[in-house]
Amino acid sequence: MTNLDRALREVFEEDATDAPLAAPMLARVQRARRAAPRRTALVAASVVAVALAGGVSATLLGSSDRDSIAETGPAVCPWDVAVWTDPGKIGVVSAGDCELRWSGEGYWKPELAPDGASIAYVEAANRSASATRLVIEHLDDRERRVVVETDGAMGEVAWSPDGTRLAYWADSPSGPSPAAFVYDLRTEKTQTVGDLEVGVADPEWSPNGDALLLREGGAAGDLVSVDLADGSRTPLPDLFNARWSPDGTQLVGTERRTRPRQPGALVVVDARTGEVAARTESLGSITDAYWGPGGIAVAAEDGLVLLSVDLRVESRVDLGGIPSFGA
Amino acid sequence: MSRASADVDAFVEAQGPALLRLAYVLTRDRSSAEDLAQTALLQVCRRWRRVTAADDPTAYARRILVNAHLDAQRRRSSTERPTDPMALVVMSEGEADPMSIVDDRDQLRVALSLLRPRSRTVLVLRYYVGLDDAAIGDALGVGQGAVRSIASRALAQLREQFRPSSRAEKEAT
Repeated sequence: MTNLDRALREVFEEDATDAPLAAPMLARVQRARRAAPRRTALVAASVVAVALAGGVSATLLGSSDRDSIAETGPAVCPWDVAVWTDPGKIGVVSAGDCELRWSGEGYWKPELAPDGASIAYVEAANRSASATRLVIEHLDDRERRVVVETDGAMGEVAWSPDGTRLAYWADSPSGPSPAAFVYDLRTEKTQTVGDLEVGVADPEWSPNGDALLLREGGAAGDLVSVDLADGSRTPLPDLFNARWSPDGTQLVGTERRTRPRQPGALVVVDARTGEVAARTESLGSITDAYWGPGGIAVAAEDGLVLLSVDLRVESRVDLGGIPSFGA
Repeated sequence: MSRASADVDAFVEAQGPALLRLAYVLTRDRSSAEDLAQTALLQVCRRWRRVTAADDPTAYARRILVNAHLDAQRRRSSTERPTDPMALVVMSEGEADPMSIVDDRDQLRVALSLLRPRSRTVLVLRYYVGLDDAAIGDALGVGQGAVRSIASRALAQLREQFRPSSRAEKEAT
């Protein structure tokens, strides 16, 4: 060992003895750790609250969260993060300590994985002007994995509830219209689930991941539930903003209006048969409906209305205007 | 309390003080050291399952701490200027006195402060933490060869700028 080696050891050891006491820092760490689950719970609660009480979810986050994300319109995600989009920009904020975990530009259709560890998005591919690719990126180490690349457009990415598959629509290589696909991250295989002749839009997973809700024929097409195991389709009534019940057996949505200015009825449909289980026209114009733990919350023209699953009105909440759901 | 939560608590209590000391040796600034150690510990806590499945939590925390430190140094580098190296040469000349050992250490600290942050960090990891080149490379995200090269250049620079007093040299030998 040289003199310099020895001197370096001594200097560093001496410096270390001047370090501040650890106890205050450790106390702060433990406080932050204890606070994180509470705030995570707050965000989780906000999902429920948004569903049941309406309003923009950012109002339920802490002030610093709000400063970061309220301007761009957040969507609260299931775990401890919020994701928001700006034109061409994505950010993920940890609700535990408001730390910006990840951000990027030039992407669209960002969807956070159910475990909050990865984000899937679509970006332009270099090989042609219209080419796009679907990418999964890990938030911590920013490891990227290009899942699919296509010469056409791609969009409406949706993670399966267990985070093992991704549903998306893309211009079909073999047909004139977009089709829906499911990519399995474990097998790295792609399954075509949409009708290649008429196109699809807006895949939405059933809660158990067994089925996808698709609108075949684009945004104004027919609503169908596709069983991913056997490919069978269940035609459904023409509902706007159809959403699965927590157990995946029913859907709630509003019927298409038959005449201008006429409000669409609120409908609950049996997802297995497509038959209408309940229907009501008594709520006037409805902007949206969500399932909550005990029933259905509806954003109606005179405020928030809470209904049982058979669409009996349980209570009304006057929010001073038409509520909008933020999640 | 879950098993994982108890494990995290134990890790924080056991490794927190050492990480804080490392942060202080790297920064020589108390509040920066506390911030760095806190950042590293919270990151480990948040990713505990992933960290314990794939990595040594202590090495992981050290890696976060070191890289957060280097990031902070990079941000500061555009606004701060190092001490004039020539001042060290002047300081090293002169007779040895009873305070020479202390002076030498202070002088070495000044010489260390003139190193690039990455070079200084390599020396801290080698001489304070006692890591080998592979572990240092792992912490910094570089190969062993790069670590050896950085350390070699840093030591050469220190030898040029740091000249221990004769008494200190005698005591050291």
